[in-house]
Amino acid sequence: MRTRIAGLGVSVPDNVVANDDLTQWMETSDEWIRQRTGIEQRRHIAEDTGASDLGEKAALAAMNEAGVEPGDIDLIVFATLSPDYEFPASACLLQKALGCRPIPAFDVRNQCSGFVYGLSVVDAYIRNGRAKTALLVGGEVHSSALDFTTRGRDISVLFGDGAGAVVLTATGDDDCGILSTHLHAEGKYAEKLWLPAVGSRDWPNLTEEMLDGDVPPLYPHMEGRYVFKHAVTRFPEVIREALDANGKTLDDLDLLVPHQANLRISQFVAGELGLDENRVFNNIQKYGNTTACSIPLALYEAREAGKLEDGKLVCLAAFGAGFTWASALLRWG
Amino acid sequence: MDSLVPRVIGFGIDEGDRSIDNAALASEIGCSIDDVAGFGVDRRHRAARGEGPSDLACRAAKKALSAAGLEAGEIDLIIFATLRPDVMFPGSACYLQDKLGARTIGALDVRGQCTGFLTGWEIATHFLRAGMHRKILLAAADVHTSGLDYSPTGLPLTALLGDGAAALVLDAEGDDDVLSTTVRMDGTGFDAFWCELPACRRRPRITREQIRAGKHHFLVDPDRIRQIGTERLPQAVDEALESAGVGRDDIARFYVSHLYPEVEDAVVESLGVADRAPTGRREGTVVSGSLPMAFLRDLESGVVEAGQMVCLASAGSGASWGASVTRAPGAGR
Repeated sequence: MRTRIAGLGVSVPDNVVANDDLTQWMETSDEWIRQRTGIEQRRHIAEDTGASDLGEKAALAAMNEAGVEPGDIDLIVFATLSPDYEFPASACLLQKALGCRPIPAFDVRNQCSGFVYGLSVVDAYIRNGRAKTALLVGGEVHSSALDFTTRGRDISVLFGDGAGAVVLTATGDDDCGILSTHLHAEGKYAEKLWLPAVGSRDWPNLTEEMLDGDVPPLYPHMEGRYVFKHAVTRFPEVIREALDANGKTLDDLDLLVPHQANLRISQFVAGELGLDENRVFNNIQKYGNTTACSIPLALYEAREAGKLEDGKLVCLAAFGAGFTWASALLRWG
Repeated sequence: MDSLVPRVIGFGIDEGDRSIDNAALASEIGCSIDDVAGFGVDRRHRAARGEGPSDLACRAAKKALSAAGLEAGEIDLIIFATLRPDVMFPGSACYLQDKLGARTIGALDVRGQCTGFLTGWEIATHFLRAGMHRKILLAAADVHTSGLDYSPTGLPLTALLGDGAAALVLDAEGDDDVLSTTVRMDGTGFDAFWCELPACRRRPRITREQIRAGKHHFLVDPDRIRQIGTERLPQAVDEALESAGVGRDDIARFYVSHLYPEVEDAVVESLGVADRAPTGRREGTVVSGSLPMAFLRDLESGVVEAGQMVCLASAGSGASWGASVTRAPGAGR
């Protein structure tokens, strides 16, 4: 039994925030952002909105495409680092919003690798016959925790909000759907890209002081150089691992859809692997880094652009906070 | 390929640094001992300052690995279930991976609240059966005490909750499969036991005023959460038994876990299995850890023997409920 994508949907907030818009809050420039990251604009929620709200819209679109009703869904996995509430999981809220019957519904918290980790988990359920019609959502509302000041600009310029959803179903075709997934992490670098608060390691978990200071614990922090250096090593490694595991070569690969962290990382990786721009899809220019949403959003637009046809060999790859990294090799269709 | 059958080959427990009894807790809160004692819990374990779930899980995991006769480097995936990890992101699985020195294996963080352990357990069994991973370390741990409201308004949670960790090493070379696992979520009960703030769906996620007013603490509706337990735990047990094709009489021991010890006892009574279940729990609830800790303690002390069929069940925040029917492992003390 294999897992295939039966439906794919996305939802991004209407509110477009261009690079120039950010200059009203922080010292930065459109040129600097484009040059360093490739990002031109991103979407931010304009009123209180949860990852599960964006996820609901994306899920309904995916379900519509797959021709499934909420009552057909038998598993919800929600990948996010920005859940609606501290707990319970955004998957619970999505289950409620969609009106699904009681089913397994939980969050996967694996940052930029969350969607691919989530895909691996759902694949395990489907292969074991434990789910037949699963919903995997990658959704983020970053903008509520971005430090829109010069102090926070390194991170704030990068991230955007959005959700992507796939309906995953079982197929008996052995050369269709998810061929394999590969999951990795290196916790040694946990604090090179992290959000300290609110965590249970601190006593107490939350104080007013955590909103203040040069490096406030309630805002995310990143050592960009470390992230870049490790990303450009691990991306090619995990892509090759996926190909090798299936007896495929880079020549067999029709399309690489990388997590959209930074256009320069994608370009570096493509160069490393000898993939020309026709075989790598990027849309970070329009959305910024949407973390768990980035891969389904890229898949959606790659499909719109005619890059995804039945039978194509597609590799999804991600790298991010943890550090975590992961890949999935799919036969589209 | 021979059939892949998940089994537990090692396990360990950690109870943190010390135990806080009712007198000590009442003194910390500034209330009477009776105020604290009324919830049925006499002592709650407390981690050392600065320790998060990954620290307790690390000690438990080392015992588990030692019992399994394995080095950390021989594991190929870590799954971590916790209510609130060491830091907001990345998750405790990454921190545990680093603490164990476990190469660059995958580190999956799942958030399933009161059914977090059963969710991680189910994911592990699916991965193993599908041949997607060969040796998995499953950790279920919480440090609650660092984040509670130690004023009188913090009751009952300060009285009920404690810290702890359970770790299990699983491989796919078993003889008797885990007979069934079922986990369900009904998001309409999301606010029976939850924590709203900081909320990624709100802008800002939290304010100074809200922190000062203690709005960031866990919230529980005692009547609703107890009702969820009494109603759903028997359903979970019955579903797991039916799915396993066995009856209550086939089960040597039942483990029922809920925030309130009185609910555990009432459910065990209503199922007619009080003679075959631990009752009268006086120790604080570890949301993710209590269920495996109760089972593993009985394994360690020989109350449950290898090969005996057991039923593990939990319910609570989400609202979630779940159960698993499995045979007690042999080795691994």
